[in-house]
Amino acid sequence: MKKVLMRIGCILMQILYAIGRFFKKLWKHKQGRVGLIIVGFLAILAIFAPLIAPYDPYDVTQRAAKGLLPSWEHLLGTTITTGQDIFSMLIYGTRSSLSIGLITGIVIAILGSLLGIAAGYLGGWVDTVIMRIVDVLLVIPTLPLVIVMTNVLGTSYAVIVIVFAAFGWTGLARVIRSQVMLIKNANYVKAAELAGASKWYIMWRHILPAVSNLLIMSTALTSAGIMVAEAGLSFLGLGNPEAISWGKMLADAQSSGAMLFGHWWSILAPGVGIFLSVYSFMRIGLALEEILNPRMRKGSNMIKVFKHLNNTYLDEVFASMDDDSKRRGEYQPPAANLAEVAVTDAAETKPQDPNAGPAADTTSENFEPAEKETGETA
Amino acid sequence: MTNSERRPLLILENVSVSFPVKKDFPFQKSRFVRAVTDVSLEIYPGETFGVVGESGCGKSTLANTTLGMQRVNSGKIYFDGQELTAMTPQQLKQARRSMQMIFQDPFSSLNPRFSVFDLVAEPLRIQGGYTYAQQRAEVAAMLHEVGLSEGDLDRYPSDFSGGQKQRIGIARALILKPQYLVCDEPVSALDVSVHAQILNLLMDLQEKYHITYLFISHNLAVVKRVCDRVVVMYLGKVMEYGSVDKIFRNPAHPYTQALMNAIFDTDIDCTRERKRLQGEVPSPINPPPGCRFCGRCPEEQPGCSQGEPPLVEVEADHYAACFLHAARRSE
Repeated sequence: MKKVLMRIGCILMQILYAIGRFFKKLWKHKQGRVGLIIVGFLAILAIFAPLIAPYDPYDVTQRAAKGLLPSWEHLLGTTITTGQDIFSMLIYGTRSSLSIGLITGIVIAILGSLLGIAAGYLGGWVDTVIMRIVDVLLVIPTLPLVIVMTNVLGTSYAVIVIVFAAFGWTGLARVIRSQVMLIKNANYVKAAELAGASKWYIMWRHILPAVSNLLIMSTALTSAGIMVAEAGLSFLGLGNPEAISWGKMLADAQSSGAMLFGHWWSILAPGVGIFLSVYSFMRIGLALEEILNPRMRKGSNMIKVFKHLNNTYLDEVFASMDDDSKRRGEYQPPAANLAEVAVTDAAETKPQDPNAGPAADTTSENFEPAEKETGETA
Repeated sequence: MTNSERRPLLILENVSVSFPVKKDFPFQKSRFVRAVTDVSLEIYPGETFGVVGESGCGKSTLANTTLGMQRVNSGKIYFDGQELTAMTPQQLKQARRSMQMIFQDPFSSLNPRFSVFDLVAEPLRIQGGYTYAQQRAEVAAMLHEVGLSEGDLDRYPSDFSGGQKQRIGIARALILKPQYLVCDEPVSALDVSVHAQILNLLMDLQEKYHITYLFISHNLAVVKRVCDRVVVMYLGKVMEYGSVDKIFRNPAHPYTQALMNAIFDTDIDCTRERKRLQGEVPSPINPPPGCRFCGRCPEEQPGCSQGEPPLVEVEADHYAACFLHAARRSE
């Protein structure tokens, strides 16, 4: 018993250490730090929501306070139909968004890594079975399926998490499998096998640490995707009807005619919430991608990427268009350039003409090549 | 002491290994790369046994089979009296205590995430039965043995140079005190200036722990310096086999002679006549019929492509698989 506990403790320590080292790397990355700060801020809001929120957001009995404008008492006013405090709802909405995103992301990471590592390292029929399942699952569109499932099983967050997790691990498993196939041929894996290591040992000690970076990155990115999906589903009324979420706040605001009354803040606030949470997770994921993939390091700035595209790629495209049209005879050079083109054409054809000597050249409009040639012959 | 008086540590009996080639289209006749064909060897305790040959001649596959890492298609391997090819995984794990390997490339054979202590102690942990303090002491002693210090225990492989990394690899291979060690081109990835250091270290350790080495190399100078006996392989077959002195003094097989001719000479004005081999090594999927060296052999005769030449004794402890000597033998 004690040994098992020790073992579990060791494993937890290893995981914590890996995650800690990772956050340190992320903190050094400028973009990643922005993401980390926002996520930290949102996490604090979510954890301490009851302490921070000034009112109970579930309280729908405030008939007198319906549709209040923003004031110091209600920072973002109250809802039009039920009189709930929008600022408090906003803070509580962090909980559902973050928890759905993170839980689904982590479940996907666990499933994807287990199956991806098994497929990549064990190979053989295990690989074949897992990859065929992936092929089948990949072609099933997730969002419509979630809509159908919520209709069948009822609207709850559990359904959303389960369906997204059951279908979301496939992409990750494929990526991890290809990574594992590279690592398993490394000599240090062979050395461990040679020392008598079991397959479990190698998968746990050598392969999982090598793909852990990839795993954390993809967890951040999938979490961001799931957050958007959750907001969308809640907006459609397919989320948990009892919970407060940003998507549901948007739907309520729309159905109660917030735009009609000019209550733009009740739409903007949850929108900003969704944007911030998704943006921060995306930021972290992309920062990790840059840290992991050295080839991406230089193009960290989107503007830089576009500038680069402008300078090289588009020029090339235009140039090739020019060439093509010239070849097809469609290209009509501007009138001012016509003479120049004719001259260069003449200059090009001249050396091939056996009769045209240096003397003939001096009489033509083009002087430069003639002078050069006479200089050389002299 | 002659070899006949000693019991061999490792016996290979007609070992053949082949890998299936991926089919280009279904229903194609399955083809195989014959990496090792019909190799019989005996390796005696305490000696350094060299394996020489071009790239792709089956040196590394042969080494892997002797370690039980590669399944054989036919033939038997006996390690220390036990049949390696018939062991259960549990027995094999036990046997792994006494057989280890040093890799060619010290950069990829050390997990960059492990500290030196973790790397060297890994075989101890896998085999089990050592407390942390024992591991720590064993590793420190072994590091000292290979010329590193105790202060290096908690550093990472990226902090070390190629030669030092190879020392870590050697420490790791020796931590279980193996009887048998495969050195797969242990110096070819290192700077020339480090070669001698690592080779001397290996020879000192061999003397101290009485380890048997299987030394794979394509550097004949190194083989001559280090090995006691040597096997020359070509396309998965044994061409010549025997004591280093005899083979280097009197190479019997035309292939060995060609290899000797190819040794790089530091004497720039050397006007020694070189016999160059023509052509490429044929594909091991479709080896030429008869003698494998047919078609490139400078002394080829009409009968050479008819049957495989037997391994005959040219002189004491010196065998060659060539019809030239088979004929001489039968006269």
